[in-house]
Amino acid sequence: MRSLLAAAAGLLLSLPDHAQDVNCTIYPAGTSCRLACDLYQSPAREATAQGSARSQQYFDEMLALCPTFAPAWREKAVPYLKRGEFGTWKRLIDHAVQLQPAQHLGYRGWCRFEFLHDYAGAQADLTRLMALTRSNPGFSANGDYDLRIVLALCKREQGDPTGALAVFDQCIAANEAQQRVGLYDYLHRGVTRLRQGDNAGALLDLQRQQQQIKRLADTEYYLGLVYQKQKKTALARQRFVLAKTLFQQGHYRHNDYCETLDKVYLVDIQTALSSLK
Amino acid sequence: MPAPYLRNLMNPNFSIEQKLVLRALALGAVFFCFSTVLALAQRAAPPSNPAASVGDIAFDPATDRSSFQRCGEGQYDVPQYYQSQTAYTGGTQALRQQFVRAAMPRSTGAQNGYVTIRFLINCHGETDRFRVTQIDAAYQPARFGPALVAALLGRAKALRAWVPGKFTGPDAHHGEALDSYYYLLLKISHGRVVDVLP
Repeated sequence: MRSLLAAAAGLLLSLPDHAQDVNCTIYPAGTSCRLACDLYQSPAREATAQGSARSQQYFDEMLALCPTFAPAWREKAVPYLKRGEFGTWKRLIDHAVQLQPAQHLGYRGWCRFEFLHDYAGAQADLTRLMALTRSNPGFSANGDYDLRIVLALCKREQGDPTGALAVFDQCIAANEAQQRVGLYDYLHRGVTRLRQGDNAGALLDLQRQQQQIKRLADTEYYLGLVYQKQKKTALARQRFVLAKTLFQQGHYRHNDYCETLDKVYLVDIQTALSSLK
Repeated sequence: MPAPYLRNLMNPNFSIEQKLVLRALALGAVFFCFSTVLALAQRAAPPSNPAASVGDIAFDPATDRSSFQRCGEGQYDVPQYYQSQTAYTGGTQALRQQFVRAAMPRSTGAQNGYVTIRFLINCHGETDRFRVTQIDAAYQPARFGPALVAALLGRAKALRAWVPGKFTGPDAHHGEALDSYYYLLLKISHGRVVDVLP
């Protein structure tokens, strides 16, 4: 049984995390950078487990062939990020950013926001990226966020809710016009407005969030808080009870790597419920 | 018996010029062999440590408990927390109570940055092999106050509510407990712990 478990675990753990795709035809055939790129895209390299010795050796081989091949710097850095060696991660990802700032600043900024709560560092990266991309910085590595929303959250977490709301408003308005508002954009702006005492604004956003994702404990919890502030106890209780049910059914925001901003815990909901008179 | 080129070098019938040419050829051959071996050695030993995956923690008798046992020693590579759903009961919120809300010494060294405590959680939820790294806000190596670092490490070692990682594959072993790696990232601002991740 143990050996079966070991084999099964080995299979699971040998599955590679997918690296960023690269178009190798941008490098002239026969050049060392083309060879490095072909090695990066090779099935043998892609089959290696992220962070394994062999995987890291592949990136070293690519960088020996072509030290300016930014994707290798970036992917070599990834396991250090995920495993808490942030000094090494930063040293490696800085090479990628230095070589291709427009391609990698957004990723570095997102990681500083997500994994380290380095809001000042993330804001600096995203602000620089905004200037490079005419205010179209793209999306977070996990696809959940327009990076302008991340920039807004960085401002909020550094004590600038007014600046944060300005960025939220600009981003959400632009994305509404293209019918591509992000999964949690209304939620975060609603929470920010709630913190600022703008209960009416928060209510509007959280109701919009209900349309984005129909069943989400986080939305119901914050709606409950708005109603509680508005002294609408019955409505607040209704939202908190629903939030608790949804949470217990598994309908809440979760990230395998890190706690998400504005995350709601079951104990928060229970505390809110018990606080109602 | 000497090698042929050495026998030729020792042959008294060669002129001085012939001996010099042969000596140069011999030295060239030795240099070629040496550089080839060196190049092969460099190819065989790239900068990454070929013995371990990133973040692996080997047993150190100076700091680690010999009584701490991995459940899957020799059977599988230790997964990371995010691959095996390793967690602390109550999540990051509960950890925040332990590290941010609790009284901690103020750093007498570096003032801003991060202390990372990485460790191993076995399939029973027991912990060991703690390793500490410290960086400043610019991600450069740093040293926070020893009293703060010791308090953080002590608090990490005292945590008892770990939910061990589990096998998440689709077969009959789904849900079986695994050893896994975890880390705690303590964010320090103005000498105080202000946040904990992941």
